[in-house]
Amino acid sequence: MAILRTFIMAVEKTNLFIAKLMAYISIICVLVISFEVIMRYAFGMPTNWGHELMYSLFGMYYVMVVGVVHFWRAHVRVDVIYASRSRRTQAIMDLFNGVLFYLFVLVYLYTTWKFYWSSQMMSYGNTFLGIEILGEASFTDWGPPLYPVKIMMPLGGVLLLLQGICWTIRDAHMAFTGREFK
Amino acid sequence: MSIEWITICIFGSMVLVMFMGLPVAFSTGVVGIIFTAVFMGPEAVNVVPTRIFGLMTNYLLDAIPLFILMANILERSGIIEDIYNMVYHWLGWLKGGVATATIVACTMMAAMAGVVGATEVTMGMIALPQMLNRNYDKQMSLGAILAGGTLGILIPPSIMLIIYGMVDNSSIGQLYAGAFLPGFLLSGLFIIYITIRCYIEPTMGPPVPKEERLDWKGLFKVLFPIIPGTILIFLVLGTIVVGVAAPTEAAGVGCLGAYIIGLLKGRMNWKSLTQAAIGTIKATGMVMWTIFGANVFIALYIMVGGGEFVNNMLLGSGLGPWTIIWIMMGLVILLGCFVDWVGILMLTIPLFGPIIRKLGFDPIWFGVLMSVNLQMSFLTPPFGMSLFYLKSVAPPECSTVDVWKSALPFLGLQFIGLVLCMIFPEIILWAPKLLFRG
Repeated sequence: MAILRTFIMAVEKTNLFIAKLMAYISIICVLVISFEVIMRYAFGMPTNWGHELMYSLFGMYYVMVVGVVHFWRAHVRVDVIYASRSRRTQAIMDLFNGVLFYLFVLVYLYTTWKFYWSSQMMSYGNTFLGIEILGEASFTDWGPPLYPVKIMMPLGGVLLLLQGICWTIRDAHMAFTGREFK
Repeated sequence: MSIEWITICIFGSMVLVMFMGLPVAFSTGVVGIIFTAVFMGPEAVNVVPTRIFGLMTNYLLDAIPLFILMANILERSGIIEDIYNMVYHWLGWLKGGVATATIVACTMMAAMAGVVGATEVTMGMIALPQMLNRNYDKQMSLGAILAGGTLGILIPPSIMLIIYGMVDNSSIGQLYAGAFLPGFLLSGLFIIYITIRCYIEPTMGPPVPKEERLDWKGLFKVLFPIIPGTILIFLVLGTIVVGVAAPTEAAGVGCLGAYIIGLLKGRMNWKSLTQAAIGTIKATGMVMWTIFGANVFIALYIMVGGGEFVNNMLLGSGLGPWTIIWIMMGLVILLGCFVDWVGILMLTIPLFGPIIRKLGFDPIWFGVLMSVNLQMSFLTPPFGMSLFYLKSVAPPECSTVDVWKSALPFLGLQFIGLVLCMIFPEIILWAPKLLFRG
């Protein structure tokens, strides 16, 4: 039991830390877009990186927060049957739902990892000290590498998977003993 | 398998999974994945990351977290209290004045926030106790907050219209321009209803007693705190509607402006900013992942020929265009009882959009009409978001049944508003025509 408790705490602390980190990222996004707008409309000197930097950062943000949102149980549910059940019945329902949940997460993890890896292995002719560096770059003027955004997709998937395991442990405890896991 | 059976199969299993209580994002996603593998082979599932990547790096959608962040910052700088305080003193002398003030304050808040939760919860905490203390009718008080708070999703800057514009490829500036009048129309209907009820039955909503009313000096004093926020919102919405700035840019600069206003008021610091940003994660994560999941699902359905099927079924049925619109609206109202609005938009718009164009209706008109309609989904039990928000902060003497019942007359008014917008399309189209179509 102690090891499960440690595991749950570790996962949820990590997810909350990620939430804080992403909160800072969103604040950076605000500064980036404001800088871009001011440069464009006040000085007539638009940057070639403002928009792309912002939507890349927000892209990371969306996929990384999925775990902590699951921790908060903020992913919206259809409550018609679910909400009016007792906590124990909900736990049993969630154990059944778990099958589909894990199917979703595992398929997501597998496909996004492949998606990331193929991007990492593309050759765009970037060199560093004469050695070719692999990795897909964006086609825009600024041309930043795309794989740092893409690797966040499987990473976020791992966070979601771990958080899902935490809920399954809690639900299983609830379903079998009728008490909350503490 | 014929398309009829496919439709029954995939929608049936989606409904089943959703009703078991698996979050909408995952249930639509997993049903989409399973049936993609079944109908197109396991290799086809590889399209999932490509779809999600397209959505997560969509520049337009970034307006969603930015508008939510702006609303959260404004909320933490106490703007809802200021607005409510101002309207309360200006309109309290009317019969039913506190309820009317609630609607007006909510309407003003709706023009600053693109979501419902913050307004609903804050008004539930400040306006509801005040109305109950003044012996306002319980149902009237609850209903006013429910209906008023829901306007947030219709009146720009509305998150709903951003998603609609993104899915349907229509201009968000035009959608925003079109949504103002219907929003004010609904707000007006609510106020007329409250006032008439309270003049017929004065015990339902007594006016604020004379000795508590402010003199002219006091009235202008309560006006000052809201001026900076009002100017900010005029700039943010003005630039979008006129078409100078993209919604994302306006929202981003709006966040900065809201933070500066908060700083000047002395109610904002680094800690409350991070809290606002963390609160934003909750709402954004939910909306974005429902978009991802529902997109995987509906993309599959359209790939197996669902779009044509729905198209042929509705257009080939020999029904008139207006009957088809009514069927669509009825379907959306029905779905609104069970599914949240993001899911409904993502699932229906890719199917309805092409039909609307074929029937010769204006897509901007239909977009705003959908938003007016989807407002009802916040109030229709058993799954109405506003009902949950308000119940969570209402005092214990207001039971769930009270909250549900209080929504009914306002649901009726929203339906009247919807019908008015259908009979007189000019309510929606007047402003976009004026601004964009010369």
